[in-house]
Amino acid sequence: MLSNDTKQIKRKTITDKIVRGVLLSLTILCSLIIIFVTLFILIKGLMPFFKEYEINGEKVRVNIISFLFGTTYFKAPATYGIGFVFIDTIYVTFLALLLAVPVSILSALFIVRIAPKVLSKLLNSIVELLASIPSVIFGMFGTAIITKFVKWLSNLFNYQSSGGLSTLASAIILALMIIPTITMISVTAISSIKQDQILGSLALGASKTETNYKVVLLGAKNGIISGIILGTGRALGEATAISMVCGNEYSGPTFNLFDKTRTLTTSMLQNIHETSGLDYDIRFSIGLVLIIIIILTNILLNIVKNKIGKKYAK
Amino acid sequence: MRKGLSLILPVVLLGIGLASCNSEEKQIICYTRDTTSGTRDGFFTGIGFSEAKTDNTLLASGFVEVASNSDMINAIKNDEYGIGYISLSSLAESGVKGLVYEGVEPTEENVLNSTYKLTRNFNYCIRESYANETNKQIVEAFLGYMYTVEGISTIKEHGGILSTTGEEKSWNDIKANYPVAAIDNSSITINVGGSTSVKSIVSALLVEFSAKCGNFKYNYNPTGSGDAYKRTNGSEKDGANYCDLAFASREFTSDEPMAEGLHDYMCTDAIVTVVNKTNTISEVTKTTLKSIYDGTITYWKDVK
Repeated sequence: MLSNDTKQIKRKTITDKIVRGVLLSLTILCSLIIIFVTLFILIKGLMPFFKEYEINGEKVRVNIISFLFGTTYFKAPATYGIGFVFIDTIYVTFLALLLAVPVSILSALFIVRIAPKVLSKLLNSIVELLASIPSVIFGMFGTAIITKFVKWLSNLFNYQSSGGLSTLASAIILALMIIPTITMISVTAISSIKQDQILGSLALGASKTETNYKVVLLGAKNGIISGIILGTGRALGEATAISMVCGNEYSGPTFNLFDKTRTLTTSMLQNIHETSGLDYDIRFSIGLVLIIIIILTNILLNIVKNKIGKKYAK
Repeated sequence: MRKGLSLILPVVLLGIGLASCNSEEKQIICYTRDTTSGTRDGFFTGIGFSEAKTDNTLLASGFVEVASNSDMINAIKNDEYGIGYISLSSLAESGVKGLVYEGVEPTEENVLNSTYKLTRNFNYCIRESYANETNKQIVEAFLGYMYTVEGISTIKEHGGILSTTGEEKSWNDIKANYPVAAIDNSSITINVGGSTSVKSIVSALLVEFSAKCGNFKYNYNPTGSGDAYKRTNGSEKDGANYCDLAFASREFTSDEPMAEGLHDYMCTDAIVTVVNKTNTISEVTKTTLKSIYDGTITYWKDVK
């Protein structure tokens, strides 16, 4: 009897150990992939600044200072400048957030708090569906509809845009793409507000609208900011759709909404199938800059999140 | 939040303010392919602006770089004030307007009778000595296939222009001349390279011909016309990237000496200057085109 029990216990411990081992190795594999990819990009990305390339018989090396602060993308034989691309990227992302954040938060509030059950379910599935549309589809939509709209708009201002390829079109496309992300996460955050808090607020005499804004939204702010962080990440990293509507400006920076722009991701993507040598390797350097920007933005937004969290904690 | 808004508003207003700067006259927006494009190479060489082949900084300000022939078509369709260039083979169904160049209509006929000048030739070259006799025979059979009825129709289908007499033979008629086609070649690999502009023609020919010639394997790595001579008979002919057969989208120069029979003409490609359908311009000259692309002419009213 007793020996039978010990056997069972032993067997269970062994199963536990195996499961633990498998899960651990999977986790290690995952983290190794991330480390490997980052290291690979780091090494490849730093190469153009140290290795000598032979172009038309000349030995050349990319200057890192002009690479980081330059205002013209490429000048033969080997001067690359992505300073303006960096500014344009941040500007476009900022505009996209400006368009997307209010829409997303307010629709999330509507879905969770105001809409009738049936409508709320329907809207929720629509938003989820929207989040799963591939970016190239947004790009097609952008070239077919958004650029035409922007062209019409710029004509109203009597300004000649390049067939609608512009900062504004890029920002609109990005906004469309991040609205579902931010909305979905905001919906989760708002749903998790406790019913007691809401009832308490109503009992104190606050109207429904006051409760929605001052109790529900404020209570869900951490989750909402997480959504914004994810959305920012997606906007910074999006390449396919935006490369179809941005026009790939060659120098800058440009702040005019109707002028062409260029982002880090589109610079990496453009003609990657046709190019070789230094022009290929430099894309890894741009990728490196992009990774650094995304990490910094995440850190910055997390600090903001913590600050806001503390401010309203009392 | 208020503070945030007061920061954001000026930026947006500035954007709109700049946007509303009024200009009655319509500017020309130049569209160009990227510096790795063979069409770009052909276009700028043709209009006498070779310096701009690989240097975007020489182009008129506000130019737009597009990634492909179809991108170019879409862009011009979308921009009433744009000008660009595409391959003649894609003009018919493009929905954009092809311009008469130096007084000559861009048609296949005019290309073949050499009156239309915005063209370039595609040429091929082969090795003087091969590592393996079978490789040599397959390359020769491939060149033979290029000018059969099937080969010519493939070349034409992918944009190449060449004159035909109507007396071309089909592959079945000539395959007896190439005994290599009758044996199994699946262990043989042919290295093919050179110009990227002929990529669609050559890949299609290779796919078709491999099936007809004992399923030989091929390694097609188009890297640019400059490598065509280098990798068959020049400095890299015995290197890791050597080629058995290579193509160039230009004439071979005197720096690339090859014996008679090692290189020849394959077909012609024509480039058409295009504008939006609504544009009233229908003709353009070589000098005007150069002035447009180098920024000397910036308004449509100045184009004559």
